[in-house]
Amino acid sequence: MTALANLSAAVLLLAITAYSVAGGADFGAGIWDLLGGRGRQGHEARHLIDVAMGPVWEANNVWLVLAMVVCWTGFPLLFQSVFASLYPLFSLALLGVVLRGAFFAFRHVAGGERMESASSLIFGISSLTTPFFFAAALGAIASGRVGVGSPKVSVWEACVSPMSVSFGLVALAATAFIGAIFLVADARRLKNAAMVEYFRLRAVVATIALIITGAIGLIAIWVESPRLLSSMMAGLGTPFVLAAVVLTPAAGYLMWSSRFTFYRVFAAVAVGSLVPAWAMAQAPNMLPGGLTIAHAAAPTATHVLLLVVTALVVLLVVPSLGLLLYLDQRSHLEPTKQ
Amino acid sequence: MESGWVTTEVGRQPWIVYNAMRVSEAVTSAPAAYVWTMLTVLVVVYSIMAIIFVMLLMRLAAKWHRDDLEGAAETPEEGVPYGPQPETA
Repeated sequence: MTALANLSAAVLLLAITAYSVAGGADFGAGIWDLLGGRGRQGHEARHLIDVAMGPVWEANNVWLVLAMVVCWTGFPLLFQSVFASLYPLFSLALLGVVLRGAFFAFRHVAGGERMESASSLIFGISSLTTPFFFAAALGAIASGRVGVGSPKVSVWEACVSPMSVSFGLVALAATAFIGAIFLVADARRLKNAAMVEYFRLRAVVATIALIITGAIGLIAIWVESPRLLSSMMAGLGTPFVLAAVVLTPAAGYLMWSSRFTFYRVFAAVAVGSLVPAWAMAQAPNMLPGGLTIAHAAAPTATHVLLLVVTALVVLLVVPSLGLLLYLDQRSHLEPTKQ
Repeated sequence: MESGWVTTEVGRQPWIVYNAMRVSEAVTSAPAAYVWTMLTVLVVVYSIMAIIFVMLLMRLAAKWHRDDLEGAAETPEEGVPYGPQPETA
């Protein structure tokens, strides 16, 4: 029973982690799109982002859907508790998901400068708000302010805390970081030396931002939840903390010195370690100080079915997503020049 | 199809899960003001998106129609932002 529930919890964690890396790169591209400005370089950067993102548009939301479904099917009490306490954060994040996808598509066919720049603005701003509010929700869970079943503090107290805000800031820096790194790779693939340089510098800046916000995040955890911090420093979360702490500056250094080997893997592992660094440290608790995996889990039959469905999802989605990314990286999916 | 759906939803009242859970037991603990605000925001956002969507579809249709008349485009799908591209590119 517990073994099955643990397996489902692992699937949930993997889905959130995959979303933080793959979705994060998309959000990051959106952030650079917003910060590109009106100049010629900004225009060129935006074109590169379009070419890089177009083929994989919204594909990464598959991880978000998987995480949601596993959460409410496998751990209904967790889902109920989290949404009862944190509904404003999720509403804002999901509003961002909707606006982002729609206006990214709209701006391609906008025809007309005003419509196009309005679409870009909405796309860019929702690329900031979505990762911020999703991560703020994780921070609020980690801070222990989510009551089991129903809220234990007022909604504002649950949603707004040093940990929720700092987790949100870490998410902004992390998505900007992995977005810039992946765009360096895209610019290299498209042999655009000016854009490699453009995003290389931004990757360095984002590395510094991620280190600073990461430090702020650790201080917030230390202030609000010292027990979580100590199990992050010596526990199941430790390898992930180490991976993030070592590989983030490593990827930043590779960018700084224009060495284009392993930088993408380093950045992906560094960002992918952030969520497990917290989640593994608080395991087996799903809500700190209240709800364990075993307590939150649905009946065994549900987990059997859930894991069968997950296996089918893996069989269907992983090869197709793999093929999509393969074709994308081989430049088979770029729009024809007009 | 929509009517059938409404019939089952309304016919099931006051149950949300038939004979297992009442709507009153399932309702959110969030304040009514929040529910109304969120519903309004969603209706407004989706309406705006629906209007823009139809507007853009009509604009694209007009553009392709023009292209057809002028024989400008080689293939009907030329200039579409998504999907596989012809090998000639």
